Amino acid sequence: MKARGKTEGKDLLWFGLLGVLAVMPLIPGPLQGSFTQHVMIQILLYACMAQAWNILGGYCGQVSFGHSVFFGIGAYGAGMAVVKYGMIPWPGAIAGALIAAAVAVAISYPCFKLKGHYFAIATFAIVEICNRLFMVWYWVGGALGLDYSFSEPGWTHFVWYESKRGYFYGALLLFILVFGVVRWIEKNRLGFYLRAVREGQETAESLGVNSTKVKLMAMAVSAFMAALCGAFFAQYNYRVDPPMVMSLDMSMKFVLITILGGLGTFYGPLLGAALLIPLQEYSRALLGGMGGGVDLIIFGLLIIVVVVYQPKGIMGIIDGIASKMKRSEEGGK
Amino acid sequence: MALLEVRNVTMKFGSLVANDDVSFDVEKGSVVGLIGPNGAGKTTLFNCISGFYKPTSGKLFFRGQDVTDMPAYAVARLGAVRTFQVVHPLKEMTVLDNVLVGAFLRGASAEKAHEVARECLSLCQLEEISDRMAGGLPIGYKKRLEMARALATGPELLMLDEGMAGLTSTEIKAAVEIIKGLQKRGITLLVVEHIMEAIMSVADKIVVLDGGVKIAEGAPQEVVNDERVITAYLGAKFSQRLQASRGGANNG
Amino acid sequence: MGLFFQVALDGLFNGLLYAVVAAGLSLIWGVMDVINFAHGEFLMIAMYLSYWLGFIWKIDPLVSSLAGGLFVFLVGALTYKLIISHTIGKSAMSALLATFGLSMLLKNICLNRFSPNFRLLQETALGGKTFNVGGIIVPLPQLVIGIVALALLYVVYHLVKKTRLGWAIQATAMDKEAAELMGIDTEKIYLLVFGLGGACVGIAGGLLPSYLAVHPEVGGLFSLIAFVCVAMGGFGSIPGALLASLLIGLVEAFAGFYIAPVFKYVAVFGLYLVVVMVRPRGLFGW
Repeated sequence: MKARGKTEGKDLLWFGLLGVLAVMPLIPGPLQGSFTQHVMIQILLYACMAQAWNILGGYCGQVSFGHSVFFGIGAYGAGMAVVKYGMIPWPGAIAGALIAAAVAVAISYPCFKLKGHYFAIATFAIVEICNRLFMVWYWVGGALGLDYSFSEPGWTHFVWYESKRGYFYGALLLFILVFGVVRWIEKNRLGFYLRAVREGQETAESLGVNSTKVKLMAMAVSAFMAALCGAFFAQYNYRVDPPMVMSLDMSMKFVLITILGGLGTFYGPLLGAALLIPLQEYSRALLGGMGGGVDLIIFGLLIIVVVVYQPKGIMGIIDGIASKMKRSEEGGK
Repeated sequence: MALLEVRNVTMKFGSLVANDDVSFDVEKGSVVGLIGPNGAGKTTLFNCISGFYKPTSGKLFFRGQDVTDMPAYAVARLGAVRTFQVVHPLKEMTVLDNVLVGAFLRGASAEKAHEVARECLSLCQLEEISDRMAGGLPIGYKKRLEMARALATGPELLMLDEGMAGLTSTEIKAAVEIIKGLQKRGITLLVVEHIMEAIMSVADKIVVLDGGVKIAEGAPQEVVNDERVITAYLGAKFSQRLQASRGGANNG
Repeated sequence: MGLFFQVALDGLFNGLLYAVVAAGLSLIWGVMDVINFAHGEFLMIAMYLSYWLGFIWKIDPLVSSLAGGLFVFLVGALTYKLIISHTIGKSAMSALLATFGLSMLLKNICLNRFSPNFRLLQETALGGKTFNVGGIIVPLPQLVIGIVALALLYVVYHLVKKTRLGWAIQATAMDKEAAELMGIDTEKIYLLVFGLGGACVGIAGGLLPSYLAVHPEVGGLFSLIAFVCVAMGGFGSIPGALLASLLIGLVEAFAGFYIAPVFKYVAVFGLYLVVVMVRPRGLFGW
């Protein structure tokens, strides 16, 4: 009975959140501002990216610094469809996501043999290699990248120019998809196997879990989702070029937002993005007078403080408060 | 055909011979104890059977199938599941979640898995703490969690590696009861155990290893009276103690 | 043919520079199993220090490099005290992530204070001087840094292998708890190792502004290449790191010259992947 009550509470929180997000752009007042909507879109997008990474890095414990490659492949999928072939972006996004998943599996199969730092460095190396190769790959636009020309705004071409509301609902759909998939995974066999592999590969194997297959599945799902985020990113910026999407800094964003919010937790990626993105956007706008890089100085400090003092991130703080409240409640009785 | 057939298994690490030409059978429905002094090669043999090591030579058959070259997870799927001597709790997961990982082996249905997990938790007397994180449990609970988790996979052969080492005498009694319960449910057991008294009372057969070689095999009473076993492993002291405990049991 | 040797020489000089950065990193990695992501930024700090000393007080980088070594030793020790010591015993990634945060912090403080401009010191004792050996141009600043690099590597290697302190460091690397039982203050060893790792890049970084422009992004690539050198050389092995660095320097120079400049790093990082696929613990690691 107790477990049932807990699930219902979780459902309530999830669907309540979706309801609030769905009506947010309709509320008259400050939320109508173009900049505010831009920030909200960014929060949803980065939350999705972090959640995609979280499947592999958080739940399965395989820390990859190579996710910008998959993100980039998705962005190029959409970009190529639109710019090179004059199509709508949807088939490009799907193809990009499938290619990203295939590439991810092909790369990680040998890389999963590497231990600890060797694996981490290998993922850095792959980002650097892909970045340079895309720079000189003229078929995909080389260093200049791909620039979108005007197309009819709306869902078919997934571009909007006047209002950002379309993008907001696009981001919300992406959010429902990515977070929905993770919610499903959490409750089902794959979720338990992912965490089992993270907590002890040998133990998992002893219980009949094919840990290699589980890790590859996590990688494939994670890369697929990251690529969809990339496609959205290209549509939102009307362009794509290698440093924009495939860079170590971009890869680190996947990791750091998750760490900030709470590794291996469902809401961690959203909380991390909800803290970081406004910080980034508003400090750029407000502290612009203090010179460049202020947002990244704060971000750097934040990362150090979180890793050193609160490795469980914002979720750790929330859990701490929740258990304290519970204890005092019980104490009161 | 026995459930598990160990045929001439030899395992070498460089020049060190951990298991030398070991053969024995585990019959379906029986409880077999695998004993021997420290360094006798019990855990190595366990690792070979459960697929964590590939023996240098020899063959292993489970349910008539050659499992010698199978990876560990495949052996577990066939129904031969082990626990570890040094407990391996999945630390940042609750006790229930730990057991659920095992329970999902026999099907993807979350509902069914919860049912199986609850049952195994109650069998191993862990329901009370099912919401606790596995990493912070006391050792006795961790040992039982190992067992519950393995049990949840629905094994045909359950291999327990020193499930009772480090437990208090009350905890050992509880563990023995659990083993008896498992036997009643038709699960075959292969048990590595240091605590002789405990294993003697439940085992149908004992296999004794010393220096990697099988030196005796037979019913507990025969093995205890075997000259080689007494000298190699039990020693005079234990023999006396056993005699005394038997005397006590007869009196009672 | 002369061109071939010229490219090779440039590659070797770069390789020696990577070796100094890698040596400090390797020491830290070997003893503490920590990847210091901010190692390239330590180099950047020394470069800025040397640049400003030269720019304001006309102090030559040859002198500033000592100040750089000392200053970055302190930066390293401070980094250990304030950040790394809190991550010991936590997950292997926490130190890496924390030092990544530190690298962002340092990089952007410099960006904020000193602008993204490239800065090169003019009129230094070594700057722009070259001499000619059989048709091959040998640049003096690179030569000096190469020699200093080899000397630093020798000192570090000697320190670890031959001195009492070195034994304490090795004991700590092998088994921290056992070392503590033997009366070694492992806290102090860690602090010292981080400081020494910093001092290596500090000295090298101090010399650099006479031929390499300093800017906020200068450290990033050094970090990445140094990681590759250390990992390829085999964890904690200083001779391994040296050899890997020279190899990387050569590969970078040849790929850049004979294929195309953008393939420099494709070749370097590709080489790393090939090496670790074949030998997952690096060239010298087992």
